[in-house]
Parts: sequence; C-alpha cells; structure tokens
Amino acid sequence: MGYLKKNGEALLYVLPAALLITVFFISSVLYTFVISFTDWNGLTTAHWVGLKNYLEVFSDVTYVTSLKNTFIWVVISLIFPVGLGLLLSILLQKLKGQRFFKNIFYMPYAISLTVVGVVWIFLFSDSGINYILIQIGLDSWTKSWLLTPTYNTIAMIIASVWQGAGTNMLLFLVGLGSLPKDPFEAAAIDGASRFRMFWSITLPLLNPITIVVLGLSFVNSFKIFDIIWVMTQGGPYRSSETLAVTMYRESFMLFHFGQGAAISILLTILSIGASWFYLRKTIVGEG
Amino acid sequence: MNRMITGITYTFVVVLAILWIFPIFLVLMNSTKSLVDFTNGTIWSWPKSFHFFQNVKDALVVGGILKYLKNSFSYGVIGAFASIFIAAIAAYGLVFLRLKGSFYWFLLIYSGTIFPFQMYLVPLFKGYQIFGIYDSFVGMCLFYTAICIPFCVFLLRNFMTTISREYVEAAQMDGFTTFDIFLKIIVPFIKPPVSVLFLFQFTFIWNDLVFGLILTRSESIRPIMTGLAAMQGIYFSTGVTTLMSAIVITSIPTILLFIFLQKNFIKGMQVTVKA
Repeated sequence: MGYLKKNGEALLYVLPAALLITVFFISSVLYTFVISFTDWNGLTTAHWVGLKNYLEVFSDVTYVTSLKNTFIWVVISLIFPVGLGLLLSILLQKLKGQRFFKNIFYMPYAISLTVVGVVWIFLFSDSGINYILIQIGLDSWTKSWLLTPTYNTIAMIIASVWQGAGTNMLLFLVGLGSLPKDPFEAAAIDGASRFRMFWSITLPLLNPITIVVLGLSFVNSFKIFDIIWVMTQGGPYRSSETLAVTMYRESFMLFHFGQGAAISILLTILSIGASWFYLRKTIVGEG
Repeated sequence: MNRMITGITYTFVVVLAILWIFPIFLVLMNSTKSLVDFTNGTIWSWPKSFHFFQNVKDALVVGGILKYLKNSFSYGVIGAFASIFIAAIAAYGLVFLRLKGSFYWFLLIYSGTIFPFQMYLVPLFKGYQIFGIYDSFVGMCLFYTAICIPFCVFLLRNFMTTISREYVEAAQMDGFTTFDIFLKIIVPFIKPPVSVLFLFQFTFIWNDLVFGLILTRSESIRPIMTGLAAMQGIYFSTGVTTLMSAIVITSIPTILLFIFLQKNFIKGMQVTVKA
C-alpha cells in the first residue's frame, strides 16, 4: 500500500501502457504457453498431453519440412540481403549520385510485404520470367516457379531480398559515414591496397553495425509470414511452409490450437535465443 | 586504374539499379493496360491503351479496395496517435516522476516487442470473440494501439532521458501541475521523435496482414492488406490489370510518406540503431 501512496501519481501515467501490454500480450504469452501442452481444438475439452506437441515438430514430416524451409530462409537471409547491402553501401559510399541510387534500392522497403508478394507472383507467372527465358533460348530453365518445391522457397526469398536489401544498405551507409578517418589515412600513407584497407580496417570498425544488421535479418527471417502467405500459402501440399505459416495453418485452418501453440513457443525460443546478444545490448546496456 | 574502378562500379550499380526498379516499372506499365490488351500480349509488352483510371475505379468499387483503404487509414491515424500519446505519458512517468522500480515497469512494457506475433494470435482471436469485439472497428483500433506502444515507449523514454531535469524542476517550483509540465514542457521537446514514430507506426499498421486475417471477417472492418490478399486470389486470373492498379494505389500512401519524410526515415533508422 505504501508503494501505491508514494508512487500514485507516477503510476497514473505508466499504467495505461502497462495495462494494455499486460492484457493484450503478456496474458497471451502465458495462455499460449499453457495450451501448448494440451490437445485443445477449440471445441472439445482440452487434455494434457505433455511434450507431445513439441516432439511432433521434430518427427512429423510436414513440420520437419517447415523446419527445413525456415532454416533455408534464415541462412539465405543472412548471406544475400546482408552481403548485397554491404556491397552496395561500399560501392555507393563515395559515388556521385549516391542519393539517387540509394533511393532506388531503398524504394521497395516503402512497399508492404503483401504487395511485394503480389508483384512477384506476377513476375513468376508464365508470361513473366519464363517468357524472357524462352526469348533468350533457355527454354529448359522455365519452371512453374511457385509450384515446384524448393524453387518456390527460393523464388520467395528473391522477393524478400528485393524488398529488404536496401534497408541493410542504408544501415551500412550510416555505419560507414561514422567511421573515424585516421586509420584510413595512416594506412594510405603506408601504401595499403583498397582491398587490404577494407578487410583490415573497414570491416572490423563496422562490426557493431554488422551485428545489428545480422541480428535484424536473423529475427525477421524466422518470423517471415506475409510474403509466403500471399505467394503460395505454404503450398503446394504444405511444401513451402515455414514455422510461422505452419503455426497459422495448424491454428486457424485445422484448429490444432495446441500444436500451433507449441510451434509458437519454438519460434519464440529460436528468435529470442538468436537475438539474445542484440537484445541484451538494447535493454541492459542502458538500464 | 582509379578511373577504371569507378567505371566498373558505375556500370555495376546502374545495372543493379535497373534490375531493382524494373518490377515497379512493370507493375505501373501493366496497371495502365485494358484486360484485353494484357491478355493479347505478355507482361513485357508495351500498353496499346490507357486504361489506368478505369482499372482504379474497378479496383476501388468492384474490388472493394475503397472500403479497405478507408479502414486502414482510420486505423493508422487513430492507432498511431493513441499509441504515441499513451507511450509519451508512460515515458514521462518513467523518466521524470520518480517512480520506484521504474526500470521494471519499463521492462514490462518493452516485453511486448520480444515475442513473435504467433504467440498472440490464438489468445487474441479467442479473447476478441469472448469480449464481443471480434470483427469490430473499436477492436481493431485497440489492438493497433496496444501493439505500437512498446516501441514508442522505448524510443520516447530514451529521448526523454536527454532532456535536462532542470526544466521540469523549475516548472515544479513555479507550481505547474504534473500534466501541465508534460503538455507545456515535454511535448515541445519530443516533437522530432514523435514525427518519426508516427511515420513508423502508421506504416506498420497500414502494412499489417496477419492481424487483419485473424481479427476481422467482414469487408466493412477489414484492413487494406488483408483485403488485398483476398482480392489477389480472385483477381489474378480474371482481372490482373485491375489487381495491378490496386497495388499501385495501396502503395501510394507509404511511398508518399517515404518521400516526404525521407530525412526522418534515415534519422529514425539512426535512432533505432544507436538505441
């Protein structure tokens, strides 16, 4: 009670936010945690099934496919959008017309993932990329891109690279702009090559930004949903699902709420585990 | 040697830039074709007619996009304003009002950002049905407000710690009430981060797909991206050009925000990174 009296006025300001978060999200997290140990389907009474839903994820072939696809997404998202972002930022750093090019590469980020999905369905349709392949004599390369397993995942990753690489470029440009000049001048006097300077000075100095970019890519690729939902809905035959899509399908189309909850918990563990360093920096670093 | 490197760099960058802009160009080009024009050619062929406004009209009226646009515009404005206001007073309480254990209150609020959205879907879906706000305007506004709060608190709290306490203490001496100090002293200070936040949160709400899927059912409540995803399924085979014009108009608001507030976008990015 003493706490209330002393802090009453301050609490009045903090409580609306704290209450909304507790009601909407913290209670949801607890609820999802509990039902992940049950076979609840929304209609009949739920039974306690222990870790069954969790073990299922690693044995049932549908979920294993989903795990595999999630892994592909994460690995490719760590290499291409980040690598391309870094490359672009280095190329653009001292280029005339930097602003112009920067805008072009960053533009897709202003478009929603849903729209990006629709755009790329259009490009991967038969009169799209396949048409060009036929025109340049690569008939044998044509495919039903979005209907062929693994190619459909790659196709969707291309769409997401197109959308996201510009953000990474921008973050790297911010990082490059704030690097100290002295080490470069010193290295230039010593006659170091461009490549050598990049490898031994730029990259190490960029580390803090690189960690942030990698962390963001990592966490975002785990949670990818919109592009897949729009482009393939995880199909055909659930072949292009990732964990986030599997969770949605299990919960809202098959009403396996328990199974869906277990997948959500796994996603949470994976993404919090992955972003641990990044989070620790943001929360504890200044607390 | 240097000249050659610059030449190669330019060539590479220009080629890549053309590749990057090409999907947007193709969408724009195809959104101006009539359906007959499109079916007779491919997505690469130059338009023989100018049907853009007819397509837009079809998308808005027949496709129902106009309703979705109105919904999302309301959700975006209301959600962004409400969340920023609630977050601003919370940050003010955390930073200036000597709340005991304020860091733990902050952690409680900030915890809203660390879980993947999948954790919230089923409980919100069920909860919304139980409380009778499933598929309602109020329900959507409430949700968007709540989901935007943690990040706003995070940014505003960081920003407020840079405001000197002396301003607040001086005002207290002069007998200002706590809320007056917030309105007259804090609010003018936080205008720059607030505009960045507004941009971020409006864009976030505008682009939302999954919560629209699980919390709405009727066309009169559905947000734009959820409506667009549904429209895509129907129109891809029967009205591609209408669909293309639909994605052009649904992207205009965020692209405009992006162009006008570009400096803030980059500044916001710096703020998020440094934080």
